[in-house]
Amino acid sequence: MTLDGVLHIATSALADINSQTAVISQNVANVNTTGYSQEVGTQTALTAGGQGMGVLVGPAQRELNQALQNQVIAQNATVAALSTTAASLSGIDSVQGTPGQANDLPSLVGQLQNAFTGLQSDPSSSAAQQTVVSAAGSLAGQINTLSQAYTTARQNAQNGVVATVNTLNASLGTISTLTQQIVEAQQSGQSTADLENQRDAAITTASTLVGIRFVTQPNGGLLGITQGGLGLEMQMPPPQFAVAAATVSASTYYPGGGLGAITLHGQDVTGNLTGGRLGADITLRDTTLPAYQGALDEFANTLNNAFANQGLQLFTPPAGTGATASTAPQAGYLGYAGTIAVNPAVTATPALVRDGTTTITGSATGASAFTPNPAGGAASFGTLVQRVLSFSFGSQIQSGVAQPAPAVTGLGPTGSLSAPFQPPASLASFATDIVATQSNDAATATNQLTNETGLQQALTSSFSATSSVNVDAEMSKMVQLQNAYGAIGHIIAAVQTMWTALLQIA
Amino acid sequence: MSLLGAMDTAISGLKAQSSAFGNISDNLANSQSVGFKSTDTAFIDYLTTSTATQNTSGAVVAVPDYVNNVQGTISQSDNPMALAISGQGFFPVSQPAVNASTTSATQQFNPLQFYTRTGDFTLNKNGYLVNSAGEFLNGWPVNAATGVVNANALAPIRVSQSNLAPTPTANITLSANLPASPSSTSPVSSQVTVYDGLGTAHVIDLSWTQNATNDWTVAVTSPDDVSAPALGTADVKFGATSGNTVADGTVGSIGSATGGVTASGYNAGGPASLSFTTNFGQGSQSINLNLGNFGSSTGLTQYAGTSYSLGGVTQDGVPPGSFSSVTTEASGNVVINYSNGQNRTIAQVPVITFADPNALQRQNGQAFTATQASGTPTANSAGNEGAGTLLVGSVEQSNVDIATEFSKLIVAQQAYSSNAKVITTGSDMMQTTINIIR
Repeated sequence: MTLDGVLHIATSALADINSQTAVISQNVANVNTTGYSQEVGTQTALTAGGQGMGVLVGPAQRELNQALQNQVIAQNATVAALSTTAASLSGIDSVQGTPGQANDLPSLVGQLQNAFTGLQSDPSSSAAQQTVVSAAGSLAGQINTLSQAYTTARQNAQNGVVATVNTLNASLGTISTLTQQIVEAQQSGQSTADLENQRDAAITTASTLVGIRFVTQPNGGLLGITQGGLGLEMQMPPPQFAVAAATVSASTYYPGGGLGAITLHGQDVTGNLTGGRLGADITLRDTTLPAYQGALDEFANTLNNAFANQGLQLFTPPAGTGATASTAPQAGYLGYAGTIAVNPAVTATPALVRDGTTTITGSATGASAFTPNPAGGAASFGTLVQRVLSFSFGSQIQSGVAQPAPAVTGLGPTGSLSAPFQPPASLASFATDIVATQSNDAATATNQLTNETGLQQALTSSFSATSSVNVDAEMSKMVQLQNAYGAIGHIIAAVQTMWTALLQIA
Repeated sequence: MSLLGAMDTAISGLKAQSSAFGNISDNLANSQSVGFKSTDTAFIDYLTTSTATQNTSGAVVAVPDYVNNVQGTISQSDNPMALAISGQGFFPVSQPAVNASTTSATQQFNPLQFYTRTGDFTLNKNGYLVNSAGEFLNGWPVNAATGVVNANALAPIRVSQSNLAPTPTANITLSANLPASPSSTSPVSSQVTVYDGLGTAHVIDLSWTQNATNDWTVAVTSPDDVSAPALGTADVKFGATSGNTVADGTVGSIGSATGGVTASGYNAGGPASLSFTTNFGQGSQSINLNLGNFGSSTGLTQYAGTSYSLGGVTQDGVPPGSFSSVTTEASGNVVINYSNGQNRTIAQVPVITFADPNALQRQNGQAFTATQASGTPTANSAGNEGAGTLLVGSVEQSNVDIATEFSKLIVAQQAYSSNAKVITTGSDMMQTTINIIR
């Protein structure tokens, strides 16, 4: 081994220490960077011709637990989905009113019933008649408010779909660009650790948007696989989804009902995109909220029929319009909850709530016969009020004949949705069912969110324990490097002294 | 015994030591030349008379002692294309022809084969790998189509910066699990990006519908097909339903192909595939969809579950790529990387060994040529048959040891002075002899 050779070994050691110090510096600088996994320099001892030739500096690599990272990514999607659902449902829950505070649906039904009971004791009292009209108005108003809340939440979900698709496209673009750079860097033997860290940050973002996992391909590329089984090759040009913005109403729906599909290369892939914010918004838009709307429409229709069947057109009947799949059972009163109002004739003449508006021909399976009290008739006419109290609010349409059961399946514009309860027997139990199931949904989503967030935090901290930068360890490594640097410095100084001695000899 | 003879001997000593001094000087001057091999000096004694009773002074001759097989220090280089040989052997290189035009894109070469260990190669403007001494690296050409190395031809390696031609997709490999009890009756679909002859990306849509338990129909749709998007369907049956003895949940038969789809017949353990022909406007393109093997759980399966789960989908088409970089590998392969992630090996650099590398003829630029004495060159891939291994991104420094050279320098100086002293002493003695006669 020559003095020159010693110097070369010392130089390779200095280069290695420099590169390791750079890695430590990069680690410490990124101690708070989201998605950054700590990097370590790689070294291999170099021998040639059987002699030690110093150290060969390799590309920096990342230290992380890949399996745990995949779990964190999957959990991100779960939490993001629940968070979106819980936010939407809790908004609706707050509009439901507080039970016992007289502003919720069952209480308002109860108030209308009480108003009729008040009218029964004095059918001639115009104040009591006015109370009935006003209670009916409050009930209709709350139904309108709820319907409006569903529509707003559904519009938010639709807007969320459009916004999330745009963010997802940007994320996929970033991931594809970085993947391309990683493939190129790998080919030329450079370190890809920093690029991979950047890509992981983008993957973390994408994982909250839709349920997706990423698989490294043999050529160094990346294949994204959505929970719905869609394979996305992360290469340039990146896969880009397209979706059109739309205004939702009770009668718009996907597919084919005014709400556009999410497409990839012109193909409808909406069904392949589940999980994450996007999946949650799609479920809210296409299933959860239309089912709520369907149940409320059914309630509004049942409410209207309950009075109309007994001879009192207390509310405006459904307009009978609204684009629907023609076979949907709710065709004809879809979106009725948004328009139901007290019959203007009744508002103008409150006495109609005593007298009735419609002649009913008796039927063995429907309501019994009824003739309205003619204008200027008996002020103490109590037949209608009695029919209303006995049958409209009851479980029978006439003595011994059950009320027609409201639909709980085949709801919504496509006729494919259902409410999660048995057909209720009376208006009061229908109102209770609606409020109870929707509150329950909101509470369940919130509870699940709490649980899943806990799991997410546990996974994230467990992942961080292995992958995030440990400043103590980095500093101790730094001290080792400093010592090594000092030692190498001594070797170089010794070689220098030897050179001087050698030159003095010659 | 002659005084003049003794002086002649001393003069030959002076000559020999100055020759050694010249070698030391050459070695020290090239102590930083990459791949330089030092020259030691050996001294040979020539006799005049040497018997039992008489010995007269002879002469000494300095001959160079080449140490071409001594490893130089290897140091890491910033140049990713630099190569160093660890162990025995040389790189085959060519030198430009003497009268070669420097402006012409077609390089003319000296037909003589040169060898060197100077491995600091860089890419020149014409795509050749040239070291700091201006020598062009040679390699075994690799057939672009088959990837076979032609070890019988040795030619300067030239890197083409042209684009990589696209490859149309011929095979798709699908690995997925179809749900045994799907949550809805609507078909599950899978999209695959494929490439046509121009490298344009198109989508093939595979839509799976369950007909009955263990019985699925796949409909192949190519929306960009110039004639009709619907390419046809085939029935894929799993497990015992297929009538063949395969494990439950694995592909047992593919049949009832309609349209342009053809299905592979059952063959125990054989590949389960179906093929279809589409036309993206570049003529008909036949694509084979590989679903794994019959009775195997590695490709398409139908196990319990309610939703379609994709394990992986790959295809062998390649979009066009532009030149991105060229790298050398430890195997000696020279690889061109393209922007689309593809790479192509264009040549392999062999390591040339000789029976007696110290007998090689030195040439300018730390190069050598074969001689009768060195033996014929033997080309082997790196690390094989005694050839050294290659280190990428490193260069071999000169094998001159300055400290040793300095000690030799001192010895040469002292020997030279001693010889000079013999001459002056001889001169004094001669003067004394002359002074005898007054």
